[in-house]
Amino acid sequence: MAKRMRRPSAGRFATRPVACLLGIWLTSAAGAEQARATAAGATLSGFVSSRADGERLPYASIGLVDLELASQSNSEGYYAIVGVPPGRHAVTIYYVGHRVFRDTVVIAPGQDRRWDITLERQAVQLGEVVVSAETEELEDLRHLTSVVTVPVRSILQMPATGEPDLLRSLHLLPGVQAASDFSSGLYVRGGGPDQTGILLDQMRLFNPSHAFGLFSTFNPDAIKDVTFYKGAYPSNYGGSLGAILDVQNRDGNRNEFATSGGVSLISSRLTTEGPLGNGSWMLAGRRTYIDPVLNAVRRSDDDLDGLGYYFFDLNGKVNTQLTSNDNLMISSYGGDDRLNVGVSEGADSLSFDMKWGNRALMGRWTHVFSPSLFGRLIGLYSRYQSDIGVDIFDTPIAIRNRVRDTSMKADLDYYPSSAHTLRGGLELAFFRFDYGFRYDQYTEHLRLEPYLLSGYVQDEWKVSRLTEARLGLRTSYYEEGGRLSLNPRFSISRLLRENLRVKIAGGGYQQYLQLVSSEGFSGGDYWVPLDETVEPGRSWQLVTGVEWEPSTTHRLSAETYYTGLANLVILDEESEENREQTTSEDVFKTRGTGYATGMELFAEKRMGQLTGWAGYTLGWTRRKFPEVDGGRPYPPKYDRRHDLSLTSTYRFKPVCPTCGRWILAVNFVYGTGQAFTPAGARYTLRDPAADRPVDRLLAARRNTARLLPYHRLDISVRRTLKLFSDSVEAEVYLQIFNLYNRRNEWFIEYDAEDASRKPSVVPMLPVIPTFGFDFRF
Amino acid sequence: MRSPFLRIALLALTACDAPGPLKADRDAEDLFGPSEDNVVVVDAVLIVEAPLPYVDLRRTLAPGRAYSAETTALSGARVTIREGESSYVYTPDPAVAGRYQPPPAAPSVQPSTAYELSVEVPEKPIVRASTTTPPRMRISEFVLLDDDLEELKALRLFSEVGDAVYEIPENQLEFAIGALEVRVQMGGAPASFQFAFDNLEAASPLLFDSDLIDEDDYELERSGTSRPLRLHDGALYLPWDGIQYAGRQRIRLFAVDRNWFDLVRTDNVDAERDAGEAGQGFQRPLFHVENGIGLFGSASVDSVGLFVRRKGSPPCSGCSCWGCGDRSSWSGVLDIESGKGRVRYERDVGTGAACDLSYEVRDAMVLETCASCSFAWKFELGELTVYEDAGACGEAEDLEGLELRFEQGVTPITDDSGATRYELYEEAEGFWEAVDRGWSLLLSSAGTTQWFFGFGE
Repeated sequence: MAKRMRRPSAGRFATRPVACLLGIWLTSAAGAEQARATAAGATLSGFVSSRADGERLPYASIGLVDLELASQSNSEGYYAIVGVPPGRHAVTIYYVGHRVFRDTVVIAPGQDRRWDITLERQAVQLGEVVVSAETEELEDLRHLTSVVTVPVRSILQMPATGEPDLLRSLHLLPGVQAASDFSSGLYVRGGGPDQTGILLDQMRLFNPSHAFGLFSTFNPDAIKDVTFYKGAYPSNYGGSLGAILDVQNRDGNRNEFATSGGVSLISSRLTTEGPLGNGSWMLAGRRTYIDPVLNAVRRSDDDLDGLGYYFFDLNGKVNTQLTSNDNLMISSYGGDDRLNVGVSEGADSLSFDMKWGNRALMGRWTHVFSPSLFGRLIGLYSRYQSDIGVDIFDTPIAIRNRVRDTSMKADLDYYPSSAHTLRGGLELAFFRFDYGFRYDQYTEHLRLEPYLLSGYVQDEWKVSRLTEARLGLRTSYYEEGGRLSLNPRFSISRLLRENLRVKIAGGGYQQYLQLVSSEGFSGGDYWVPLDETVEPGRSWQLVTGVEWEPSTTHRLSAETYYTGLANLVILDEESEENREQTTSEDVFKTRGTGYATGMELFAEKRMGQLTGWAGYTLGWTRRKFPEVDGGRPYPPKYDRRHDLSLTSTYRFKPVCPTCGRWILAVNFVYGTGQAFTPAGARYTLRDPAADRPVDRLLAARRNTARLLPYHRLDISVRRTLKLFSDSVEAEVYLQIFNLYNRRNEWFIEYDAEDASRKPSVVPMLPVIPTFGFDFRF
Repeated sequence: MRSPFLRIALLALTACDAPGPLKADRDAEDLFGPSEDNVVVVDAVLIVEAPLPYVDLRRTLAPGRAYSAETTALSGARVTIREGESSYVYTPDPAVAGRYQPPPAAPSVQPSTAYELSVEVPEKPIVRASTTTPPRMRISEFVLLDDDLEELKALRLFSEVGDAVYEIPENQLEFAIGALEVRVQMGGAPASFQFAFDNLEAASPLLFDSDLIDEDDYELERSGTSRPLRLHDGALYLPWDGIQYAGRQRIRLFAVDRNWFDLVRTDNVDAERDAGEAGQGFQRPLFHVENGIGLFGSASVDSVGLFVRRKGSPPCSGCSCWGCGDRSSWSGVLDIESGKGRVRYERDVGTGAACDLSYEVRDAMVLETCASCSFAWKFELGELTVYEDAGACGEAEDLEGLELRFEQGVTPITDDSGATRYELYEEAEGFWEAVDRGWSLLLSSAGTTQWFFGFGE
């Protein structure tokens, strides 16, 4: 293992990345501003924020209706409309969950106008927010293909397995599925969970799951915005072959101290926030309390020396407005899972101790260089670590894994004209992967420290009144093997007639980090960077779509997708036991190819007492590895021909203006059974070293059989309340997961040691009722 | 779970399954895939410098059908092994169905040599496989290392002292103290290495205390194999976890060819991959057999021997380390055509007391067999003959007239002198149960077929 220790070149840039990126950033900004100075007309610019709590509102739609000029706020809520002629103009702004803003603005000749705008939140009661959120949430991004913004309040109101969960809510979208009831991993459009990049405030989370995958690490109370690219994502993102989930946490209430939280059977959540100088702060925590139950179990069993499990997560954020043009923000996340089991009987003892978790810290400085030039500089640190310790009959086994990402990013948003928004940026990431294994006398240690330098440019171009395009290019240099890549990406949408839009998008994608995972559980997964022995994974995506809005309450859409995949890898579990796995070629089966293709239909009702959607996906996915099943193509476990999801919420009218209301939510999912490898025959073959015949089961070709179809109905009933003289908004709820208790099949278990035994089916979760309480004041 | 309410609630929730068409329920037989019935299974391993081996041919059976190793034996095949210009045509073994023997004059297996197998079965495509034997491999050193992997002492080899390796002080070790390393000399690189462990004692104790491993319910095997291992700088660590019982250990090291390596590394048996990760580990092994499955592999082999005693126990030898216990066994032979035979009882208490007697078999008759057995007999113990009674026969002398019902199971347990042994079943209160330490063997020679069976006590 000592053969591949730290490479000297890995730290070459370590002393000067900040200076390097800062220099490029400032030079580019100066050049861009000089170019814009020649543009005609004035610029209307500023920040869009919520009046209720001062939160900056990302991706709000801003339009000068009379001039047919429009823009969209960026991820920090900044907007700029260039080339505005002098005079009085009508301004309209849309944003999720807020009243439509309508006002006029006067632009003096030759004078740029800075206008920071606050929007009124539309509803007071929790339930009503969702109605308006769903009304408008897709308006602002509809020209982009395969992107979904998820209303955060609806995550809280969907029926869940004890705990509201972002990733499990995403499973209800067409094209997204789960591996099992036990996994919150995202399988998007025929891709595995390793092909979806997950970011929290720009920080890459390496294992966003708790409880072996049962829950995700996202505390729904802390989330401000969720942007989910199911495919063909733009060039400002990278590092994933398939999809991107970009989650932004709340900045904190700039106006007043506020608290929200919830109590469920699994855990309790508490979020507090308030103003801080010219900015705000936010602190959100969550912890399970199953410990006392496990303690009681331990006390009742004399052989059980230890039994404990908990998880917690903490999100913190501080931001301050240094000047009207400068904002500094620090965001952090920390979360751990800890499991320990100890058993002893007589002289025997067994113990198992497992701890895993993420730590992440991000600092961001944003600066408005000029009305048409916005910049952000980000430094971030993200670390995942897992430690597994097992002691069997005094034989210690230890597995230790550390993954660290230390990155600097610099981006510029430039608005040269009303037709173009240019974005560009650089990112330098230093990864450090550390893996250690010890079994009795045998030890193994691997460390790898590659860096990845990426840059992108992107033009959001209003080609005509009816046509919009997003053209981008992303380039990367990966130190291991000196891999240089250049990936073009595009998205074009055209309005054919009122309310009918067609879209096409595509691009090339590259992935340098690889998830080492099991398809059964998503806990204990970890990432490793590929080295020079293996080509990085590549994909090519093409998405087409049509979207029709027959009325303001209904929306129908259809999308087709095709993803071609090359240089895929999967974990090689068949190498020698004592082999020193020093290279990616040793660790993985390589040179995999594949494709995923399909069609998604989506129908949504967005307003009224009854809201919800229906999504259907028809899909095919294949993988092919020279070392798997004789090189034959096979459907991976998550290949799903039909996938149907229905979700609806009915809000009963309150019986009086001050009364609370009942909310009934129902989810139904149906999916083709997952693929599995069946037994095709029995046979007898000698164990050659032991020289004795063994009766065996012969596995048929890989994944040539299907589990029974998966379906499930979940239901939740909520009652909104106002407590303590209306100062506290609250909801009590009862939810039932898997209402009709279908024991969906998880996997088939064959007994390879005793071929005469019949196979058995291991089922997934039964009916699970839970109840809880959410509050906000 | 102390709360009765919680217990009742959980029971109620899990007991009531989804109604009617919503239920996820199906017959276990539906869980088998497309049948691969009647595929030829090749089973032959060439050991360098050993005689050309026999070849076993069997066929697959659909997984839902009643299975018996005998019924899968493939007869009537033409089996040939070629090496260069030489060709060896095999002949069926009259004693074992599906086994083919090489010609008597066939030479020993050569190292680094290509061998090709062809099997012609009527109305089937020719089954072909090939192997290139590994180079000669010799264990040059066998050493004990301390925890810092510094050499503590060298153990002696068979090539130096023969079977005295089990007796000499250098080769006497306390269990799991230090690390064992085997160093090899070899003219080339095989695909991989694999150890096979054999404890040569019949009744030695476990080397570690274990209340969790209840020896009545779960008996650790006295023989086992390692996973494939890779040579590092000409040496291999010999894992202690392959050694479970005290006493003499013979450890064979195989330098194996690609076919052997690929089968073992991708096999579901012993790999704990059959269901460990939500069923994804169950997979088809890599066979390098054209128009069939199985193994036509090769290896070079060498062995080491040592004597292992419990940690902290003083040097000792043989059963003086763990006490010489009371050992006894029953064995029988029955001519299945005439129904004549004898049942013998032998006992050695270890203190000088012993017993050796036998009963004539009478009124033997074939029984209806069960799904999990090959054949079954009922008989009575007849006239008693006592060869030795040194105070240890006890009730064994009073069994005349006792009716016994035995049958041969279908699960092979050992391969003994070219014939396969199977489990022995006994009928007790209307149910057939496997006899603890029982064995059963059917041998044909000179026109007669005899059933041998027995069990230890």
